[in-house]
Amino acid sequence: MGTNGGRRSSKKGIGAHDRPYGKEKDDPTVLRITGLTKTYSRGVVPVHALRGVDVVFPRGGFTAIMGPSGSGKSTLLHCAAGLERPDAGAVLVEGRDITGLSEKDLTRLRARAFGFVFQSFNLLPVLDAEENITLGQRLAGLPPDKARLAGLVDSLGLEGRLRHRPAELSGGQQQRVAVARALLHRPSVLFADEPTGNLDSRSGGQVLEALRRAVTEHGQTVVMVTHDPVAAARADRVLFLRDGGIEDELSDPAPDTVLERIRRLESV
Amino acid sequence: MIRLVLRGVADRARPLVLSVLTVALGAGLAVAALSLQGSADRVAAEGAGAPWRLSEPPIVVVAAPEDAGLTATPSGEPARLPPATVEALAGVPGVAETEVEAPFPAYVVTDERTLGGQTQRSWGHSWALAEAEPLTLALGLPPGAQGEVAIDAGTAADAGVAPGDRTRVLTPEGTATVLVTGIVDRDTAGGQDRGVFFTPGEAAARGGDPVLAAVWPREGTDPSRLAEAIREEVPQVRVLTGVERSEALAPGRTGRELASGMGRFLGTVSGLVLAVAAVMVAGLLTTTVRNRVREFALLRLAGAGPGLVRRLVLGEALVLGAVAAVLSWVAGALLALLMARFFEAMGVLPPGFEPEVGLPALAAGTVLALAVPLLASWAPARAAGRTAPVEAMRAAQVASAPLARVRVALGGVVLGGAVALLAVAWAAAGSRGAVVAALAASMVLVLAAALLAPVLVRGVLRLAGPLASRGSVPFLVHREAYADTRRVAGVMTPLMVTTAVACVLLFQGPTTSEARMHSYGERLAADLVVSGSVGVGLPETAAQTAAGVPGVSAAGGFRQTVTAGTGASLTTYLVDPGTVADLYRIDAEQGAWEAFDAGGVALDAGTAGQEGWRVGDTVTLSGPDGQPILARVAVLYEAGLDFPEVLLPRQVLAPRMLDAMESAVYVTLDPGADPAAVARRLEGAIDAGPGILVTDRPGHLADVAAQGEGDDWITYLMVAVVAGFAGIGAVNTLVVSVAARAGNFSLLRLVGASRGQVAGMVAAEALAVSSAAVALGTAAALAGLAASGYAFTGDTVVLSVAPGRYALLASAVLALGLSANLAPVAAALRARPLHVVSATG
Repeated sequence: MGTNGGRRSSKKGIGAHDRPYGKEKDDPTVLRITGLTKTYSRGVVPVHALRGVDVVFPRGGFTAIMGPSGSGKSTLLHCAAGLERPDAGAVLVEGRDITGLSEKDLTRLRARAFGFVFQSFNLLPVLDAEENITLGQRLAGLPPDKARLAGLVDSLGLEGRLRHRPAELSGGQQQRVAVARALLHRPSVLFADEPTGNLDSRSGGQVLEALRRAVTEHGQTVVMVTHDPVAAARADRVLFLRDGGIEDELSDPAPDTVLERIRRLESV
Repeated sequence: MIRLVLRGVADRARPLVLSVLTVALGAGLAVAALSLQGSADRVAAEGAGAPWRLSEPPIVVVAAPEDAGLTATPSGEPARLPPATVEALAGVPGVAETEVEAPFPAYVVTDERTLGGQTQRSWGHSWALAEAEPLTLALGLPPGAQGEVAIDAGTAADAGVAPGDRTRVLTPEGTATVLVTGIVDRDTAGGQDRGVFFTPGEAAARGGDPVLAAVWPREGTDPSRLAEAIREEVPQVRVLTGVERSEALAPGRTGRELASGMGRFLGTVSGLVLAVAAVMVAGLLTTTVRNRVREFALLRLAGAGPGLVRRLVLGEALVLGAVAAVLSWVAGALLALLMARFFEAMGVLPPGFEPEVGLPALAAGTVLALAVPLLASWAPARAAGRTAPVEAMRAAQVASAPLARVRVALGGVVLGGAVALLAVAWAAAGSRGAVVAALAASMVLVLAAALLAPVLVRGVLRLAGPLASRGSVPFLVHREAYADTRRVAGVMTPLMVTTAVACVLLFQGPTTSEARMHSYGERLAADLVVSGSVGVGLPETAAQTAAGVPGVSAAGGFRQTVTAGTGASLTTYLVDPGTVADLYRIDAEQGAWEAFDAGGVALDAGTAGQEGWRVGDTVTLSGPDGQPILARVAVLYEAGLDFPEVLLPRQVLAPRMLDAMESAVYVTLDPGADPAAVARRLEGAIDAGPGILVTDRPGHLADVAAQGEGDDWITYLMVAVVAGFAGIGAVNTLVVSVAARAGNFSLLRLVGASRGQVAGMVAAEALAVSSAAVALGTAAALAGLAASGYAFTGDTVVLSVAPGRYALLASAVLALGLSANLAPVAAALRARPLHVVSATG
């Protein structure tokens, strides 16, 4: 907590730095995290995964989170997305704290307000691409938004692939299907955890391009954990985590500067 | 290699445990069955179960039948010693005295009931038998004159009589009042036959030619020498000494029947359990082989040959078998004790039975426990050996394997076989072969359905496609099932087999009885039926008495026994030849009923055809006592499957049977006679004790039908065992598949499915699969049963399914299917969205 207290003001500064795209809402901040603390007590020595993290994610922003292994970046993402409960602190989604929500309400929240893309196993093997994309709608009992679907399929380059099962798609295509599924219901935030981790650079590039477009063309908010400087460079800003706290940040990053920051971070 | 096998086993310990337990239980049941059978055999060998040991006379002589085949069967009769033989016996030098014995039915009757019947017989004996045993008098004196008897203590207590009291005794001649002179020490509580002891003279007059002679040597004569001398001088006899003497007299064979029934039951159950275990182990290894494709591929990449991979799987099966073998010893010993106690409680153990687990039984259990998993792992091991090294590098998830072509082809062939059997049953309806074909068809149909289960599942899913588009849960169920038809088939098959086997076990009996009733009713021409106490019957004079009652046009009784031609034993009725045409609606195919008289025999046309006998031939049949019967073929008839193959005049065989009392007497009335009045007169006229009953035709048919509906605990026990193991099979398949599905459940939760939706998905699948299993199993079983009903009657489809029992059965299988899904439901409820993330590392 104490270690990064001095940097809090600068983060707030970034949070205030609005980048209004597409649809406007009253609150320019879609996700606000304050004093987030998480300690794992597995084993003899407790592991402090997060030590009082404060961070703000602006609407329509593309934020990358980087850091060495064990820095707490995945825990931050999980807590922000309501997949894990923090020990202390608040996670405000559209101004509402979700840390106290019941499992049922969290399920509803995830279904309506969030989208997810992970490194692998994003798709049900038994469903074809289109069925995977519309799965959330179906579970919620909603008719699939045909126009939105067509738009996403078009912008993600999935034409002609909709009837294929995941096993018949390449890794990159599978991830783009996952991105389409995560975006179909216009979530407040799309969380991506190492979405390019399993992909070659070309397929990875296509997935990053898809995420970038979601932000610039559809005004979506994207929070992405990655260890790849090239991937991070596609974001609007990069947060650097170390030992459960935010150590540094970088706006409008370029691969070289990201790499340089990472090296500096790891050498400290 | 061994370390690899052991590690593999350790990794999959949890799903393997169920398989190990099933194999161990199956082998344990085999151990128990063999142990109990062995113990029963030992009892029989030691003569401990024999009702009469005859330990007093050093030598006992019985007749040696010409053909011993039938005498050993449950319906067999002991051969008689002709008077000349008894005389010759007395004339052998060294013989001091001979005493003879010929048991006959003799029941003490009180005002309300007849003591003894179907399960506990009651025999009249010579007092000489009591002396030969020897029995001691608890009270009173031996019978000293005509009309005096001693009775066993149990019967005396039941009848409430003491020495000096008079009581009535029912014998083939009717009832007689006798004086009880003594009570002998003989316990009848353990299911031993009751005994009424007459003077030797009266017993000989009532019992006819003796079945045994007890021989007392002169003083100073060596019994074994004398035995030799008798063997040399008297033809056609068996000379028994020592423990063999207990083989001389066993009038009731129920003990032997029950013991063999117990062995059959245990054998069937253990066979079923081992079959289930084999299917389970095969299914389990197939699934794990599929899950381990990459592991095997990696091994292949590292230079392992297909043989090594195969041996890995076989080795795993061997370890499984070895553990199961050790467990089977424990399970076998425990089961043997438990079963012995259970059978003892059911009263079906021979007296003197002691359960003992023998080495041969343990060895057999071990062999089975090792062999079943090894055989079951053969196909999966071969599949594992075929794994290509390139599989290791395949990124995409392994898609559901295509249907095994061999399985489908085999299923098709088996289905063809079932259809052929049904066709045979249809074409040859009315013959015994047709019934067998129809019943076999139902089992073969089930086997075909089990083999074709994946195809059936696919077909059903295709049909259900339009339904599934409504709502997210049906949609997901449909897709998941379609993607893994093997899992669905793996759950459905045991449930389907349970349903089918239970249907056959529960409804085959009633269907056959109903078919029998149908034929019986069609054939019976009698207006009234006279019967006595159950298992006792009517005196041999009953038919003659009935014929003299005013209003009676014809009366004739029957008694079932057994004879043989050159082939299998033939069910035989002793009848009054002149009345057959009046009492039965049976057309003579050849010959005429008028020609059926004291020297004749009427034969089933089919049986006669097989033997090559024609009307007018004089044929030789073998009687139940192994002695020949010469008779002229008077009539060939066709009367349905349940009707005996042979009709013989009563007087031909009755003297050679221990019990030839009439099972019932059929009566037809004069035109215009009042049935109720005649019935009353018959009850008064026939001297058959308190059990006499006269019913009209519909009442009689209803009574016979009701008798066939007795609850059969062995059937229920078998159904329960089959269902239990089918449940284990289904659970096993599901437990193995849960690991793979947990990821899917988590993903669904992540995408927004509620716990209820995911659990509902599993429950919906369980319900659909169980219902389909019940429907298919029922269809297969009932098709065969209906065909067997048709085959039996030859003209009418008969199918007897009690709705209550069926509903119970169907709901039990559904409950089984649903509860088998508890593991996946728990996994579904436990599934947390984060698991997807953590699964990716």
